[in-house]
Amino acid sequence: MHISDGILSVPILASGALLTVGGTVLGLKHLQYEKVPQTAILSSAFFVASLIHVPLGPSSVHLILNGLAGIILGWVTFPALLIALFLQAVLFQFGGLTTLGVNTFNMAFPGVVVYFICGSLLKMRRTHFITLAGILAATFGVSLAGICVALELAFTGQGFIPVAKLVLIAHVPVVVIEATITAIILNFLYKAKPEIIGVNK
Amino acid sequence: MKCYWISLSVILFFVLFPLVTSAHKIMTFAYVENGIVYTETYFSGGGKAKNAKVMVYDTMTNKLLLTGTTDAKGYFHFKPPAITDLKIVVEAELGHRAVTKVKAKDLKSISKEVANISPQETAVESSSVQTHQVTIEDMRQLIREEVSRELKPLFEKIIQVEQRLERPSLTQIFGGIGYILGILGIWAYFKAKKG
Repeated sequence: MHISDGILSVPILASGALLTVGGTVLGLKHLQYEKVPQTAILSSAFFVASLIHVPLGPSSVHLILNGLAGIILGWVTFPALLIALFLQAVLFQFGGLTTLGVNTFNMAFPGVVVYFICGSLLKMRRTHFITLAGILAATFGVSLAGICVALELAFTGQGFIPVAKLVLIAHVPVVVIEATITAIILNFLYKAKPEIIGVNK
Repeated sequence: MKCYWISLSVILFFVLFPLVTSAHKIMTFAYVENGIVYTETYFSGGGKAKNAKVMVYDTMTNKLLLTGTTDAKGYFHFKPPAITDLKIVVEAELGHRAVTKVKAKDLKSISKEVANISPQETAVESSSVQTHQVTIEDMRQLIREEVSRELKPLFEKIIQVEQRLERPSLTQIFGGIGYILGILGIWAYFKAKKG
């Protein structure tokens, strides 16, 4: 999912950077004191998740966990993923500094969408609704990110449909694994610390 | 308190898991043998980057010299059309890109010998020693083949070492987590002061 330096054109890089700046400003406004520890933990989880390589399917893919970050953090996903992606670019050379804005948008924006779509499912306070929220969060998070990547690559002359197909098919195993992880973590949080997922028992 | 232990173990799980698995980006390596440039492209997980687009540029003029695609093993080789510094760009699917360089002097050493030295020397040899069919050039060729055969495992070893160096180390992983906690810790500190 990390787009490397030197592939996208300047207008796309610039608009990605602008959108990310906007999202980050909005996110920092939503970042309350009590939310800082969970932001740090989800940011670290995202940072390390990209190192978990899933050796299935046609391409080489890794976990993303943007759905999990999104459903818990909402707009704060932007600053959380921005820090993690910056460190991934600097330390591991994943993606790059010029594509930092685009990559952050690609993965954080689906997280915010997930927050608004699946957030209400958590409020139902039923285990199976929370499981469903986890599955949907992972599915939307990963596939929307894939669609964003395919859209941007379409501007470089690669056809949108074939790239989108490739991204989505390659990420099917990732979606399955992430759906399981997200559902388990959300259910655990619901039992142990419901306020983290915005539910009061 | 229980929650912190759980979050700690979740983080530890994510930190230790990559030790058995690995990361995601592409890397490309090039070496020259007999005037032919060989490139190998991998995903950093060790998987071969097959059907990736290869573009070879002249570093000086930035002119595209030739293009090609990697085979099923991620290999691609070509005969450089000109002796200059080459920039080899490999693009795999989903926006992955890697760059490697080959210096002109690595290409030159071989082609110069073939081009310049051989005409005079072989001419002298063949006229003076009629009975011996083995010319200097034949010997040169033989030695070159032997040496490159002997060096092949060494090249492979070097590529393996380079590959290992490209992989994220445990220090970097822990360092990254430390930075994230530190940055957000500072944020929390200032938030707390204000509040």
